[in-house]
Amino acid sequence: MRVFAAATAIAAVLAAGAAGAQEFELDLQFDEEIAFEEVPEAEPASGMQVSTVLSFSALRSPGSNSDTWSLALKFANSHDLGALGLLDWSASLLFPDLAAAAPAEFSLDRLMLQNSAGDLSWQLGKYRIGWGEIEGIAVLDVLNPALSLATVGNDSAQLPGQWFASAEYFAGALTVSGFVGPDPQVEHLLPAAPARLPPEFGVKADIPFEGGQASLYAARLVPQAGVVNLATMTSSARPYRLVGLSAHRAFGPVLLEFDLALKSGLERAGATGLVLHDRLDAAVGAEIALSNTAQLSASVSARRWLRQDQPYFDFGPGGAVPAGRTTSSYLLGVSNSFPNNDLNLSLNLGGALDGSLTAAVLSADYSLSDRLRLSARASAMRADPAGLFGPFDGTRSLGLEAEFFF
Amino acid sequence: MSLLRISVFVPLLLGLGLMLGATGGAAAQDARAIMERMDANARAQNDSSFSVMQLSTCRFGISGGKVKCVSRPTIKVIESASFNTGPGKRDSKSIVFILEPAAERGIGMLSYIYDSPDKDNETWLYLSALGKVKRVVASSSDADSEPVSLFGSEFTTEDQETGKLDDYTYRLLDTVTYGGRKAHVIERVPTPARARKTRYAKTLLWVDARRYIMLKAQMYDGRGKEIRRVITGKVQKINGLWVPRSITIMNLVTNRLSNMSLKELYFGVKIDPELMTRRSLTDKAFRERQLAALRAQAR
Repeated sequence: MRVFAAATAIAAVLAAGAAGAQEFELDLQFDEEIAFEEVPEAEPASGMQVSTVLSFSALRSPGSNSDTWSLALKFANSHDLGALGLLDWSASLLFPDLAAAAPAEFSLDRLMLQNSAGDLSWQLGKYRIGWGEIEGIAVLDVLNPALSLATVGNDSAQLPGQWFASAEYFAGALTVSGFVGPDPQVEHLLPAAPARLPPEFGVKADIPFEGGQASLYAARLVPQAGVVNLATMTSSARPYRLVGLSAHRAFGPVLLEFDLALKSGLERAGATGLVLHDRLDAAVGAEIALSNTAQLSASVSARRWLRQDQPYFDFGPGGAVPAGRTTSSYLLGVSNSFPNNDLNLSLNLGGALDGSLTAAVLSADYSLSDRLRLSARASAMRADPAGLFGPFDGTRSLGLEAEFFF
Repeated sequence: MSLLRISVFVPLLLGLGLMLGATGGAAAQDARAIMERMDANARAQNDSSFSVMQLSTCRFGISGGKVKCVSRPTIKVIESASFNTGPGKRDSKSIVFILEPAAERGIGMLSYIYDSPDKDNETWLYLSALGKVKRVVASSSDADSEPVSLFGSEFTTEDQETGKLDDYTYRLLDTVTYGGRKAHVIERVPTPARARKTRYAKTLLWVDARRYIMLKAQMYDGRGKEIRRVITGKVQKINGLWVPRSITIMNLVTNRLSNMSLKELYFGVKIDPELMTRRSLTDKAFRERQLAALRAQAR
């Protein structure tokens, strides 16, 4: 794989440096005072963090090609509001297409007022809540706006948040938390009905044990993506109920993870309209520390409808396709960082276990200095032309980014 | 992200940098006794500590007889607290927060380090963007057996160990004057079992004969080639304890060095055990109150 080829090349460079190092005569009276007088004493930063990001993206797909230059200004700060608590926020101003002089877009990425008293902690604002053990697999990680393969390799700070009010109660080792989401975010491919969604709410209990943790979940949620009613050609998102269980356990350098959820009252498209069915979702995953710098992650997930008594359909970019009772997917990732964390490489491969979809993302981040970071990301996708993601077959993309921290 | 590497930062400080000791004579001591005294003092004097450290890493070169950075160093500033716990206080709990660089500010990591080889160390990282606390695993369940880099620096867990004195044999080679101080030169050789877990076939230690702090160490590979060197400096007496405020480790293979500079260090600080829980990673208000209490004690 290319990631290992790059690692080998870098290792070769280091080895060359090592050979030179042996020529030094180091039996000296080491004067580290002088050596480190040249290292400035860093003071803890205060005030607003500001960075600017210049990006280039190229997309090649069977239907369209595009090359886009964009510029973003990113801001973040923290404020101590005394008795009210601590306020963290981050926002960005994006110029999405410099060539077309497209208007700037402002985005409030994160806004969180946090405080605590006694054994109780609470938060209010726009942020992400982590449910489940396996990120990016929609078994229990379903509270926030959906992630896609396009977000793999992104700076985690760029992941979209959602409006929540939440609280945690710390009862010794046990932690019980709950949330209300007044404004659920749903992706719709077609016009949505109803337009107004009820709030989401849920509770979770974390129960640690030696080397691991188990968690229990119950919630009323709104789907992350709408379901298309083929009779009316409108998209629908109605609340469903979830009960779930997750656990993780470390075994030396291996972390095993498990998510399980029963989702009741999910909408599903039949030939003549939407029906409500229950579904069991499960995922198992492992994270393995291959070395001090390399990590391997792997997960497999499956969804099984508990009823299948008529033809059902999924609706994608290419239209409606027959839907099976059980679907399964996988996600593999390997990452490595190189000396001083200056260079990080990752390769992620995911898709459907039946081979109807395969996507690969190769990412590289290089810190030229504490102020300048460069990154590159390349992706490719293969899909069954007759399948749900057929229009994406053969899509390739390249993204380059330079971020300067002021 | 390789932030898991900070998990052993505080134990490193305890083990490598703070080989503290009471002043006093060292008459008629053999090498093992000297090492035991260093180790015992390291444990006893670091039961509760609070510190702010700067970690600088760069490629180095030699010019005019001086070792200097030849590239711009990468600098991280870290605030940390730790205490010993468990049977015989041989385990430790520590929590670390990054103050600098700004892009990593506020990232925290909690670590429980167990002395027993039968119990895996535990480390948790708070991923604020994902809204969850994540348990992280290291490449070995025995942190001492596999060197884990700290923030990608040259400091590793293998350089930080305390205890496990029986894993080595010791020989007092000489008593010399080093850096103006009377120092014992001790050769430390791993036992066959330990040798399978370490890169170092032999280590030479220069130990201050009165203060029982390490002044210098040279690590050798199996071919007898020196591969790493540690130098301590800026020794000061803090709260009645001799402390090297600067520790530099040089990798003689890659020509990289890392310097750990203690900007602030306080011992005997009263630390609420609740600070060493996962709550501190997620509840920022709670954590800031706890850290403010430590800072107030440190004044």
